[in-house]
Amino acid sequence: MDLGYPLSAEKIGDLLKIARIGQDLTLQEVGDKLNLPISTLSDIEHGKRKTTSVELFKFSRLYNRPVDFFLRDYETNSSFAVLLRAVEETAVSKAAIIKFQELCNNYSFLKNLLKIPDAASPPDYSRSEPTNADAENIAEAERGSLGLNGQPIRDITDLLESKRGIKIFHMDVDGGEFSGALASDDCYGSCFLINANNPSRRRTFTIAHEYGHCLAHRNQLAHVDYERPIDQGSRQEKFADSFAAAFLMPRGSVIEFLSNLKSSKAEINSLTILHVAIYFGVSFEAAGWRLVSLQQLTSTKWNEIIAQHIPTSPIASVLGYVNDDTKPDVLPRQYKYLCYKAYNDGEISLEKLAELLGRNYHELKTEFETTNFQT
Amino acid sequence: MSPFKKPLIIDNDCISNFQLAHVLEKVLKFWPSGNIKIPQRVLCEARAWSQHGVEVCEIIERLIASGEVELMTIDDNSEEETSAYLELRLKQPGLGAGESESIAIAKCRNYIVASDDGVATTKSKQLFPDVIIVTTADVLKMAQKDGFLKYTEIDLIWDTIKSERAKQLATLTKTK
Repeated sequence: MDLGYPLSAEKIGDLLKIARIGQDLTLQEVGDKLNLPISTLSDIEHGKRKTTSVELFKFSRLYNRPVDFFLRDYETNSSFAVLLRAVEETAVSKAAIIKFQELCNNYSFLKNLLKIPDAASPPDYSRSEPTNADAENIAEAERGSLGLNGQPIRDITDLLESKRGIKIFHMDVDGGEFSGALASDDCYGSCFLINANNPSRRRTFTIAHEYGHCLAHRNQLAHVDYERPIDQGSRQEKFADSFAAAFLMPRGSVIEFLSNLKSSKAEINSLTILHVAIYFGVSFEAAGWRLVSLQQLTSTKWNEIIAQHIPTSPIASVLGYVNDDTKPDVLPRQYKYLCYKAYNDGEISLEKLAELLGRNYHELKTEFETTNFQT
Repeated sequence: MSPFKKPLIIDNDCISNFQLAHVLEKVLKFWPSGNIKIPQRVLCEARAWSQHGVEVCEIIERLIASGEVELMTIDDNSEEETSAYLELRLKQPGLGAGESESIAIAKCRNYIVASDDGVATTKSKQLFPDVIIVTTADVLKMAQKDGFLKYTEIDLIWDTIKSERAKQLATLTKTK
């Protein structure tokens, strides 16, 4: 039966293959479960045979994807296909990546539905293959372009979402010490997945780190990051760390902050580092490492300080350095705004709204009806 | 002659209205057994309803067991139903997945959908103009015409729905 849908058999086949691989299933296993010969499945995935709607339903159940996933015009060699491959050998669940893709897809759906123009994309430095030494200048340029004027960034999610159009989702991702991931292509734009299980200061650094990858390594389509000490790892990781530190703690502002404390270099101690961390909204580790990279603190001294477990000490608590364990919203603010706008404009039903927000239909209905919701 | 001519698929919003007015079981039993259809995902959504989910599921599951209500999902072996569903998902993406399922089933099995969502109704009509969608109020009127309810009872049901929603919101706000 010809479905009359906009996608070619080849494209549907590609999407089916991506979804199958996403579930770690071989053609043989799919054939056994759906009672279809391997040759038929192979023909479907290669676009040699059109699939019926009944078959699509069966595939969607088996691959744990909404059936309309196979009807949307994705770039099949998209960043998410690369991302799924990147987590293949790790403990990060593919279900989390699939959910992330669904959220990004919902975001794109809402923007298209409401005809919201894309924010200016972040600049792309990937062709020039920037090195660690370029990180400081790129961070400075970005801060200038974003109008930050040396001030600490109070809400990096909001900033990058509203000014750079980056879609940032926070989800609980267990396994593999996962900290964050980037997916970037023409279909979705740039999207970050951040592990909500990490403390807020760490999440802030991860977002800045992913932004570094987004600026410098976007041509790779996708990237996954795991917990590791700052400034260790590949050349690309070192760049992203240096960028994140410089973006969150600009050189001039750090120097000025220190000079206002009337401290000389020799006087920088754990208390100063805590103060810097709190002011710039970063972790103690990130602040200390930044002071070392700015040659305000020696590595030897830093190694001594870091062995003292300062972040969990009473003095840290007194100064207000607390790891905020409050879980961030999964959904970014702009996403939620678009959801409500689409509902208010009569573009989506209440059930669709509940679906997009991941809310219970009945509870959402009660809130809406009783508060006479108006935007 | 009874205005109730075709089996009725009861959607989320009608379920919650009837439950709030304490008439869910009563309404689901008005018409002959098997004429009321509850989509599987409506039952799932009710399960996650913190305030009334337990009672709603108890009622529905009891009526399913006794054969008075039929649980329903799309027939994924039917090319007609799956195609209708896919068409809705593709051409009316502003509808929820569950609504699309109810409408696709109603189109293929000649059922009526009971839903209060104006957007869902409009979008359904654009694609499948023959599918009839009625509201909670329509269901109550049918019940009145068939002699199951009096006008005064309908008024009481509406007042109860309104006051219960206000109470619910207060509880939800407190627990958040």
